[in-house]
Amino acid sequence: MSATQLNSLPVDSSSSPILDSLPNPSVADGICPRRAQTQIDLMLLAIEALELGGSEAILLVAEEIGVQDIIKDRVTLWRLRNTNPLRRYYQRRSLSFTEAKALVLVGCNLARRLTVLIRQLLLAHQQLAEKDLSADHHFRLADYLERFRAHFRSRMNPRRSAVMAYQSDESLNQLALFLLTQLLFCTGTYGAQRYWTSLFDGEVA
Amino acid sequence: MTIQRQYSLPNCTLVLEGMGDTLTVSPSSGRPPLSMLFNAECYFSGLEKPLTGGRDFLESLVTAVSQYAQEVLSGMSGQRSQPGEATMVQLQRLNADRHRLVVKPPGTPAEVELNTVQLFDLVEAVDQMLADTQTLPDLALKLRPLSRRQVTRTEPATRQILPAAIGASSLAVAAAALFAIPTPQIKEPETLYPRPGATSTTAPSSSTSPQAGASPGSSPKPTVSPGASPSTSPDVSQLETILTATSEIKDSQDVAKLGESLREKIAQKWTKSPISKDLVYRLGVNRQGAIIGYKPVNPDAAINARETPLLDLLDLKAASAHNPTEPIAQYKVVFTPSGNLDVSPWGEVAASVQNKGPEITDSAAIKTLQPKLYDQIDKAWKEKPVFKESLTFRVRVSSNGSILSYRPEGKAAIDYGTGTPLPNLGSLEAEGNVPPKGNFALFKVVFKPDGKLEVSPWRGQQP
Repeated sequence: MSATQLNSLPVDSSSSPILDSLPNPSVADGICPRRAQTQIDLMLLAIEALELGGSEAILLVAEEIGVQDIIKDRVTLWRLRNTNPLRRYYQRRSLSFTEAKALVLVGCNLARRLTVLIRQLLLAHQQLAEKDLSADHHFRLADYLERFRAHFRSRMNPRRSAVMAYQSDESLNQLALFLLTQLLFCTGTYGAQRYWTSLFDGEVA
Repeated sequence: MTIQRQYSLPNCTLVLEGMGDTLTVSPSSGRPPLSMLFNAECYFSGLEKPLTGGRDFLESLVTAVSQYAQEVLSGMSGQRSQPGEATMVQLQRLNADRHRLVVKPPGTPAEVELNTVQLFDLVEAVDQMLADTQTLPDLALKLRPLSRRQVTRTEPATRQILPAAIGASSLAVAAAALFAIPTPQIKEPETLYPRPGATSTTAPSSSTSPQAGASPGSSPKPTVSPGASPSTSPDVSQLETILTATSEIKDSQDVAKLGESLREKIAQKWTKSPISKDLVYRLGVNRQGAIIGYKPVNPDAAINARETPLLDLLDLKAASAHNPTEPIAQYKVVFTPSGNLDVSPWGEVAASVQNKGPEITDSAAIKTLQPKLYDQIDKAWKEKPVFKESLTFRVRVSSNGSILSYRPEGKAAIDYGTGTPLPNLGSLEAEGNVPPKGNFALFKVVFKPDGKLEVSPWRGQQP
């Protein structure tokens, strides 16, 4: 077997020290649960709604933190993200821990860079809610929600019941705000560890 | 010697006082470890007195905060604490945005209501303390996912994706007194791109974005507003501000040349993945031909941006290095479901929409003119095509359907234009030509190498 063939095999997590900052949870089969796959994709979707050119940024950061062997290019990223069962182009495969960790670390890294904006939007939402005002009163927040709704609707499979639950603008806004809260927690010192662990709540024996 | 450690965030500051273990203090280490705690204080902005206590209080705070953070993240609650763990400090969820921190006896009883950002600052202060190896090294981050059995309650919608509906939000804790400790700024993360400066500057730009063939009332001419975006290197999300905040390249030859290379650049990359409607964008290009900003003009364009190569072609480096005083050229770029690509100078689009006088945009009139034009050209086109790629022209038609003038779009159309019947039917629009007087309608005419002819309204199909 030639060396090039070896290179195309899945990368072992031990080869990338940054991935070892996240532990392997003891879930059955050693693969990511569906909920984790959904959550990771949605987290990245929220980042894309926050930042124009988000998917470009994902690839840049992947290279910066040294996981470009796992998230090689646009096509690979597309395939990894389409492990989310809610997607229109669901790939019917699971994320390996290595792949999931790489995506989570990239997402948390991007969230950290967007800290100021994330805090601004959450505070704005809070202040508007106190005054009983809609998000339309804050341009940047309304913009984020609108973009998120558009991304979600264009990429998720409307025939799936989990997606059908998000038909209204209001329900999608709530999802967008929940994801924004998750992103805030991802910006912290142990953000990646906390987020990663939360993906397996209720999944371990 | 007493050692004090402080972990400060905008809404929360954790202050620890204690002393080092004399056995482990080596004179060489600059920062002695705090290994024995006397007192811990937790200050919140808007709360007069800090929450305070000893080692038990701190341990209980760390456990409660850490576990509650996980609950917020996953939307699942359950028995996270180990039997025997201190429960002096507890956190309760009031609604999606509000959380209550309670200290119970034997601690000094207290209650604080926190919003999500305040809660996060508390979590972060605790995590910074845990990550600090020189402070209470025996305390460390302990994270474990809930087991299947431990999950006692899943917020209803989390079974699908997320927590339940946000309830009515209660009032924030009254900011009674000034925060006792000066709060240092939150650590500014190095951003991938310089952070968005004046985010609201994008607001006006959306109102100036014209639809193709917009109503006469709108004024789609981009306003040049110096100083609207003072940052010389805008955030990617701010790219559209470039479009409104910079001056334009005036020389029409330059604009034409840049437009030509822009069209080729996009055409090369466009995979023509299926789209159902015209996608219309407004693009900004610098003198070097780099795409430094774009903005979807119609809703479909916003949703389907990734069906186009624009994201790939966007030159992030050039965009962040763009100086607002440097003029740019702007184009209207239309991707059509039939696989056509239109690139035209934005100023021209804007101008022709503005001086609406002569141009016919009424869709009924366009519909009657379209077949007339098709028939004229179809009948006159007798030569077998020698060209290998489609030739696109913009054709100006008078209100009675006769061809007034035409303009080649793209290199192929320029080179092979004489192989079409157009030169016999109308005049070539060249630089400096006075456009023909009278009402006119614009059409896109495409000659295909296989002999097919396509005629469509230049401004796209109107609804």
